[in-house]
This record gives sequence, structure tokens and C-alpha cells, in this order.
Amino acid sequence: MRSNSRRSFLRSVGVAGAIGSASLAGCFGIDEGDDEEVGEEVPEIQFVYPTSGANPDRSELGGLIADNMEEIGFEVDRQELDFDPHVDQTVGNHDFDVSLLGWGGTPERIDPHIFLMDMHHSDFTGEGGRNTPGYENPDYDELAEAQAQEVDEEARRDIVFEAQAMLAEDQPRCYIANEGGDHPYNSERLESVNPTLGEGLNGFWNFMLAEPADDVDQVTFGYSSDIISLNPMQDLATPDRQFIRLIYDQLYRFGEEGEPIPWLAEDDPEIDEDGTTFTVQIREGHSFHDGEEVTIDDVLFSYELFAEYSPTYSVYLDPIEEMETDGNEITFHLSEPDATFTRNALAQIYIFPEHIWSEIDDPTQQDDEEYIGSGPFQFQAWEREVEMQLTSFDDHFEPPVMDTLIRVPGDEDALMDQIEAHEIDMLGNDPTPTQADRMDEDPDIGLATFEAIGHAKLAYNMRRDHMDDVHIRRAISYCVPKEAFIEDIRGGMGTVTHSPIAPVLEDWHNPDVMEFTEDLDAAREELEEGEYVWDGDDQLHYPAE
Amino acid sequence: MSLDTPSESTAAQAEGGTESIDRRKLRWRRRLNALRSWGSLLKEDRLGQIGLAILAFFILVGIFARPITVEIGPVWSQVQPFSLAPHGYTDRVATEGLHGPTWAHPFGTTDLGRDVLSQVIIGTRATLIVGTIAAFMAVFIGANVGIVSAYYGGWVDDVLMRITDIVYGVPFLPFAIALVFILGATLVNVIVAIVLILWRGTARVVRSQVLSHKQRPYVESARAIGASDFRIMYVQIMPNVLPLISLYAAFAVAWAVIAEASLSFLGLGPQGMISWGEIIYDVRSAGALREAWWWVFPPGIAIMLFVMSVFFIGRSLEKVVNPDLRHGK
Amino acid sequence: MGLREYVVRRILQLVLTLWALVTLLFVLFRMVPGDPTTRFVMEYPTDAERQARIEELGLNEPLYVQYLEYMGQLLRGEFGDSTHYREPVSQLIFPLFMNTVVLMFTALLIAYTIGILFGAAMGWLRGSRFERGGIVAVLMARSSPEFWVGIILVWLFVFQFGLFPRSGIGGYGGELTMNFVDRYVNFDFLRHLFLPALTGAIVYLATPALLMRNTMLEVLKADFVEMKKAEGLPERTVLYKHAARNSVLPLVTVAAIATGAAMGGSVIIETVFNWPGVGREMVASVSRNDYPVAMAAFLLMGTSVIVMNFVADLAYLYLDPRVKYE
Repeated sequence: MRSNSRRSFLRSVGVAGAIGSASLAGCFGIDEGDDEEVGEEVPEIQFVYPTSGANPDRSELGGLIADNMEEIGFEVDRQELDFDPHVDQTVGNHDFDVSLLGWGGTPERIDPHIFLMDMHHSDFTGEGGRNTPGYENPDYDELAEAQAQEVDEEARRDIVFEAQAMLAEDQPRCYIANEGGDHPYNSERLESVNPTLGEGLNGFWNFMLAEPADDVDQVTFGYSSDIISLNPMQDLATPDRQFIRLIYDQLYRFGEEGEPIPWLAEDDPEIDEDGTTFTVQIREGHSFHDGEEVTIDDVLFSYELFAEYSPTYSVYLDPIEEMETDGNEITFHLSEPDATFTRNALAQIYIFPEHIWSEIDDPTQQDDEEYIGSGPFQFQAWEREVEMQLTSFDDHFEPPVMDTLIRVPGDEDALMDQIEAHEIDMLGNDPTPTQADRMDEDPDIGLATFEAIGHAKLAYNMRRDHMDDVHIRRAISYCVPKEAFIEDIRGGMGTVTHSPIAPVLEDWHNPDVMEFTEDLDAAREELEEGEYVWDGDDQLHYPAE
Repeated sequence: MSLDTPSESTAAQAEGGTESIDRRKLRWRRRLNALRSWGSLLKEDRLGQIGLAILAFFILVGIFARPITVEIGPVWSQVQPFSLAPHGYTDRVATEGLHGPTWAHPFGTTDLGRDVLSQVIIGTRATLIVGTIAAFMAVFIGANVGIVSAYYGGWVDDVLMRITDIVYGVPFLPFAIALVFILGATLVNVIVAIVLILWRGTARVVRSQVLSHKQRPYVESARAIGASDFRIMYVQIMPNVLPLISLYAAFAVAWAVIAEASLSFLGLGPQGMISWGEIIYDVRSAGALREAWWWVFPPGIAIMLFVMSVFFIGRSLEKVVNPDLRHGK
Repeated sequence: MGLREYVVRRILQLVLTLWALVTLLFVLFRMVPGDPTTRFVMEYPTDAERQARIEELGLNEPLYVQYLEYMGQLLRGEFGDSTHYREPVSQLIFPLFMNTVVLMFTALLIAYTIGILFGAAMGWLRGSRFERGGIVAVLMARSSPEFWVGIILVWLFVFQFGLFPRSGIGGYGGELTMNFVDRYVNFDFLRHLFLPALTGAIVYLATPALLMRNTMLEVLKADFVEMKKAEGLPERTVLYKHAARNSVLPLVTVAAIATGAAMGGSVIIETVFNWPGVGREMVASVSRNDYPVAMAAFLLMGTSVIVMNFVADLAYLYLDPRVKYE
């Protein structure tokens, strides 16, 4: 639970005071020109960060970072953008110097692969690619590739640690914080909830294990946006996945600790010695919501369907050369060893009823309107922007505790009010510090605390000459008030980080990397080391030729 | 767009005027007449007085809210050195956030320890800027469209009025929201979005009024002595529709301010400045509506008072435009 | 010009206006930076999947081709598919539109009922303290943006007294139905309707109240009131009869225009109260680059405005025989 209910702003007060007094100095004057002994001025830094409408916390943080950057001599062009224009301009068109964005973390991302490979390997620097900074380092690429193929966990960890250390030194990005938080719930109507790593009350194991009080027959769950689509062939948004996986089963599920555990599969996959053949046996006697049995043919059908149509998962199935079935057993033959196959493929591909989906011509376009799966919840009814109704599937081998689950979309502030007014039972969004303080004092409302594995981060556009200098990047990283972000702005919710892999993932997180916390003196030293100089107005310049 | 539908019986009495010496004088007298008649009306119109007083108060607050510095190249000069607001609107002045009114912070503080009083004072500026510029531009465009349309008639009238009809079909706020969202939430875009719609009311009313003036003898005689179209439109006719235009300007200020506040409330307010609507948006996004009455009521009441003052003034202007409304004498 | 010709001309004008609106919107929404795939750019493993989606949506075609296709679609009475939800826009937007209509109709009904009675009373008691106070009160309500009235009502009735639900259109877990009666005629829905409808009513009350008051004043001034009184009819009967007759025309006109405008003005009320309506959906869809939904939502609101303006003109024609068809 939360400890600090009132926040302290002592540190930030100092910064603000300096700005306030500057304008009262005189009535008119002339700004002095450049000194002779300095070179060109360092280009203005184009800093893109969210508007307060898009993300109030990060918007506030962006303002503080920009203030600090100006304090150490940068000129800053502050560009506050809404989410779509922000993503389009930075990730899409690479038009930025520094960009403040986040990256969500779900159990699928507990494995370090995406963080190390997609986000920093030089294959992903194209427009729209996940390597937004355009970081290209052949030494690093080697590490990223090696960790993906290393089947031995110990050996893989060493590589992962080394990769993190390299990223911290090169600072293509400044990792700021894992924005974990508190999700509120009604503690009168719910005996217990079960927040999970990275997801809080949105987690699969919360819906499975949350325990309603005796007289409660339906649980309402609020979230700040509606589900886009329940069609697993279209799922792009995390909130969609969080409900699709209630309705559809996979061979393996991510357990409460984020480890894949056998689900529709009987046991762990049998992997041969060179790591290219995976064999899985499925449970017998399990059925879909319409009563048809789940067979190995459904499994094969589903994998073929995903390989052909899924925009998000087909890439994970690329290494498969051949699939064969035998009895209740399916064998995957891969073209090369893949340490991530269980997590990325076996634990993420949903099993569809072949008797329904084989009739559908274009599975990315057309839904099965009944959403027949074999998961622990079954679909009942849905009206957009109003509610979605699910009930527990009692014939499941692991049925959920609750009987009925209602999902309510809406604006976040209204949903928070509804929790406080006992109109809904739990919420998959973080309250603001103010709301959290209030809920903390409310005996009927509980706050389920969880750690995040996604993060808020700065990306530096290394395609641009001035940003290609590690001293500039490090100096800016020293301008980021990570502590103040967590303590003051987020009211204590979250964890400061210095690495792409969250500290809470103890197996993978390297705690001994170079750290950057708010330190303007260190920032100036860093710039001096890069031989930058300041003019009479304290503006940053390249050295004189 | 007005609350009541103004009638077209405003024509000032002193028309004709073929005697060359007195013409200019007469014109000025005509212009002053409207103002004077408003002045005398105002003496008995309590609401109009209150409106003017409130508006004057807000204008003063807006001007003296923060020092104004003008910069031209490296030369800068502080043309207005006073600062009514004790703090900047982003300054974090309290060590503890979300605190009710105290002597140091009469309107309390925000969740991030900012002074609400300062924000409300500085927010006056955004309201004044958006309100006046948007209303002025809207009325300027509307009046010109109306005059040109009515004076030339024919296809000019047809085209301009069809455009006006189209604009009448555009829902105001949704359009402003879409436009500001698309072009970005800057001061200019917010004003443009408001102006693009707001001119339509003025255009229609001015047109119908000018149509009636076109027939009058003073226009005929001006034409007879060879006055140019421009001169007839802007020197002869314009002063007669000026009271009506100022009435519409008053209402335009009200609508512009409400629209700006609504946009800001949705998080689409102009960036880099604070407005009353934006303060309320901040309260909402901080999730503090429930307890922080000191934070949400001052800006809300300020919006209400400001718009009300403009409506009060509008009502008394209306009596100049439409003498039928003067009652109780 | 005859009546029929006038109506035909007005209808042509209406079509022209709608066409201009659609074109304007089309151009406007294509100016948004990014496209429907932008917000998911980090979710696509490689750019190829994203490009495939863009092609699938036809967004790689030249703009004029897209425009012609869209116009063709509209002529066939289709709005296309939502690029975000990937389902037909009509299916998505119809229930939302119904919700908005029910909300705004209720708000206007309250506003005009109370406004007319209140306005008549103000005119009746001309020069009294009641009248002066009434005018200030009415102007005060009109000076408050919808969100401000909404916030005050929520603060009072939800936070302080806990009398009404905070948001949404009904309790949860009931049957989801499109049947009008089952959907809207029940206690739970009305409970949810109360605050948002009241918000609209307060804001829209000023127009009919002031209009009614002015009509009342004119009637009071007229000589025939004295004459009728001399004939022995009670003053109240005379007044109401004449006030009613004189006020029907402007009231109907203003009400029609207000109805159209209210469809657009619902955006804010819907946002404050989380009302699943067409205005809120428009804001949301613009932010997601979901052009088809944004266009359809905007078009519905715009059409309401245009059609109601048209109705106002027709009502004017019908009720006031002196009007020429110009």
C-alpha cells in the first residue's frame, strides 16, 4: 500500500524560483551578442513530449526536463503533442531530437528479447521500427542476436547483462521509470484481488482468482477504453489481448510470476538437444464453449491460421519449418535454435475451434460473433461504449472464482468517481495521486499495488549529428528528475530505473549499470568532457575552431 | 445567435445630407448619436452598468496580471512592469500540494503545489485575448460579407449567402474540436476555429439591415453625386449598422469565450498559456473535483461572471438597436 | 415563387450544404498527422504488416480516388467500416446516436417547458423584483458553459448528496437490447438521464424564457388587451391567449434551431457524464484517426443542424402567411 500520502516539492521549488525572478530584473535592455572565443552554437534541441491531455504525468515531467536542459545551456524547442501526432512524428518520421514516450509491459514482454532485440538492434531502425533512436552498434547487435539463440539460461543471462551495460553507457535512450501503480477495487464487494506483474488488476490471474464476497454475483471491471476487437487475428491493443485471453486458451499461459506454465498442454514442451524441435502434448477431454471437443487438429489449424493471417504473431511463427501431429501430440520443427519459442509462440497463439473458423473466409476481417473459444470465460453480450458481459465457463479445467464479469469502458476520471461511489467493483487504471490519497482513506476501497515492466523513457535521435555525440546524450540524461517524477508527480507510484529491463525482473535485470539521475553539475562536467563551451549568456557552444 | 432577435428598425434619423459642408459633421454626429443614446440608456440600466464594471475589472486584471515584455531582436523593454499575480502559473510555490485557502494562497494550491489565485489571474489574459480577437475577427468578416453581399446583390450575394448557409450547417463546437485537434492546440488555431464559424450570424443580420438601407434616399443621393461603391458602403451605410454590429460583437465575445473554455476543458486549450477552462481541466485530470472546491470554483465563477458581464452589456446595446425593448418608461 | 418551388429550392440547397460539409470534413480529416495505424506502430513487429494494413484500408490510393470512393459509398447510404473497430460504422453509431437524441430531446423538453412558463411569469410580473432576478438568473445559466453546469451538478448531487449515479446510461449486467422501450423506459435509465438532461436544460433555458418574456411584454402593451378586458373577459385569459398566439412562431423557430444545435452541443455534456453518445464518439474517433466514424458522427450532427434549420424555415412559412418565399 501507499506510504507517503502528501508529496513534498522542496526540490522543485528552487527551480521555479529562478524562473520567476528573471523577469523582474529591469525595464529595458539589450541582450549581449556572442563571444568571440566560442564556436557554433549547439543546435536547438527539438524535444517532443506529451500534452497534458495525452499523459498528464509525463507532460509534467517533460516540462521539468526542458527546464533543466535550458539550465545547463541548451536551447529547447518544446513540442507538446497528442499521442497519435507524437508517435507519427517520432516513431514514424524520426522528426525529433529527444522524445519522451513509454512502452507498455505485459507478461508477453517479461522475456528480455523484445527489449534487447527489437528496441535496439540495427535491423529495426527503419520508419516505424521499434529502434526509434536509430542506435546502430555492431558489437551490440552481436549480443542481441546471441541472447536469442542461447538456450542455456545461465549463459543467456550473462549476455543479457552485458547488453544492458552497453546500452547504459551508450545511452541511445534514457530509461526513466517503471510506471507501476495502484489499481483500486471495492473491498466490500471483493474478498480478494490478485494484481499481477506489469498489469495489476488487468492481469489474467486477477480475473481468475479475484474472489467476490458472498452475496456478490457479478463483478464489474472498469477500464479507460473500450475493446477494439475480440478477434484474435486483429489484436493490436493490450486491453484487447487482456480479454481475448480470457475467452481463448493457449498451449501455455504465463503464470503469476511470468513463467510459461502448461495450460492446454499436458506438460512442458519436449525440446531436443540442438533446440530446434518442440513437442507438445495436449490435454484430453477439454471442450469449446459450444461443447465440441478441443482436438490436436484445432491446434494445428490455429497455428496455420496465425502463421498466415496474424499481423502481430505471424512473425513469431516464421522459424517454423514444419508441423506434424500424432495422436494428441504436435511437433514443431524450427529452422534454427530459438530460446524464445515457448514464450513468443507456444504461450501466445490462441487455439480456435476449426469447425467455426474454417468457414470464415478472411479471419482478419470477419468475427465469429459468438466468440466461441475454450477459455475460462465465455462471451455473452457486448454493446460498445456501454458494457461487455462474460460468464465463467464451468466446464473448464480451471474455472474462475467469479460467475459473471462485466467490463465497463469510460473516461478515467468518471470511472474513478464510480469506484468511489460503489458503482463499479474494480478498475484497470491508476488513480492520480490525489485520488489515491482519497481512496486510501476510504475503508471500502482497496488499492492493489503492482510493479510495471514497461517504462517511460527518452529516445535520442542518433541519426542527427549533434545527438550522435554520447556526451550530449549523457548530459541530457543527467537532466531527468527521475526521483521527482516518481515521488512528486506520480505520488510515489512506480520505480526509478536505468535499464530497459525492469528491476522487478530479478533474473534479467542488471543492477550494476551506469546510472543517470538528476545532477546538473554532472551534466556540465559531461559536456566539458565533450569539449563543449558556454558563452557569456551561458548558452552551449561547440569549441572555437 | 443573439438571445432575442433584433429587429431592423435602427436607422439613425439624420440622413439625406446633400449639403456638402455639413456632410462630414453629420456623419460624425450620426456615429456619436448611437454611442450617446447608449450612454443615456446606460444611466438607467443597472445591469448594463454592472456588466461594464465587471468587464472593466477583468480587463484591468488581465493587463496587470503579469509584466509584459516586448522583444525586438536583442532589444527588449518592459512596457508593463506590474504583476498582480503573486506567482507564475507553473511555479511550484507550496511545499505541499492540494491545500485549501490560506493567507499565503487565498485560493489554495493545486495538486502540484501551484498557486490557484495566480493561475486564475493569469488565466484572465487568455480569456481576454481569445474573446476579443476572435470576436473582432468574426464580426469583421461577418460585417464585410453582409455589406458586400447586400450591396452588390446578384451572384455575389448568391455565392456569399450559400457559403453562409453552409457554415450555418456546421455544428460549432464539434467543428472547433476537430479543427483544433487536427491543426494542433495553439492560440492561433483556437481563434481560427472559433472565427471560422462565428462570423455567420453577423453576416446574415448585417446583410438584411444593409438591404433596407440600400433603398434609402441618402444612398441614392450619394450615388448621384458619384461616390464610389466603397465609399457608399463603408462611409455612408456602415455607420448606420454599427450599433447592430457592436451588439453582435458583444455576443461574439461571449460565444468565443465559452468555446475557448469548452475546448480547454477537453484538453485542447492553447498551449503555453493558462486559461480558466484549462484550470478546470487540470482539476479534472488530477481527479480532485471531489474535494478541491477552492481549485475548481474560482475559474468556473470567473468564466460565468465574464460571459455574464458581456451579456449584460449586450442587453443594453440591444435596447439601442431595438428601441421596442425599452419598457417601463 | 410558389410554395412548392420554394421547398424544392431549399431541398437542393440542403443537398448542396451537405455535400460541402462532407467535402470539408474529408479534406479536414486527411490533414491529421498519421493514419489509423499510427497508434499501433510499435505493436506491428515490422513495417510490412503496417503497410499491408494501410493498403487494405485503401489509404495508399491518391486522395481523389479515396474521395470519389467515399462519396460513392455515401450515395449508396453507407458509411463504410470503422478503421479502428473494424465493423460497419452504421452498426456502431446508431445506438450512440439514439442515446444522444434521447438525452438532448429530454434536455430541450425540460428547457422549453420551464423556460416558457418562467418567461411568461417574468413578463407578467414586469418591473417586479422577480423579473429582474429572473433575468439575472437566466443569463447566469446561459453564461455557464455546459461543463461548468455539469461539474456543479455532479459536485452537488453526486459528491455531496449521493443522490444520482455519476455516469453511464444504466446499471450493469442487464439485458443489452436495442428495443427502444426496454432500453430507455425504465427507472434505472431515467436515474442516469437526470443529471445530464438537467445540465442541458439549464443551459438551454435562457432562449425560450427571454423570448417568452418579450412576447408577453409586447402583448401587454397592445391596445386590444384593454379592449378585450372591456368586453368583460378576465385579464389572465386574454393575456395567455394572445401571448400564446404571438409566441408560437418565434418559439417554434428557435426550438427547431436549438434542437439542431443541441445535437452538436452534446459533446461536452456527454464527456462530463460519460454518456455513450455520438458527440463523445466523434472526439474519440478524431483522436484515433478513425476517419469513417468521425465523418459519420460529424455528418449526423451536421445533418441534424441543417435539417432543423430547414424545419424552422418551413415552420415559419406555415405559421406566418405574411412571409414571402424569397
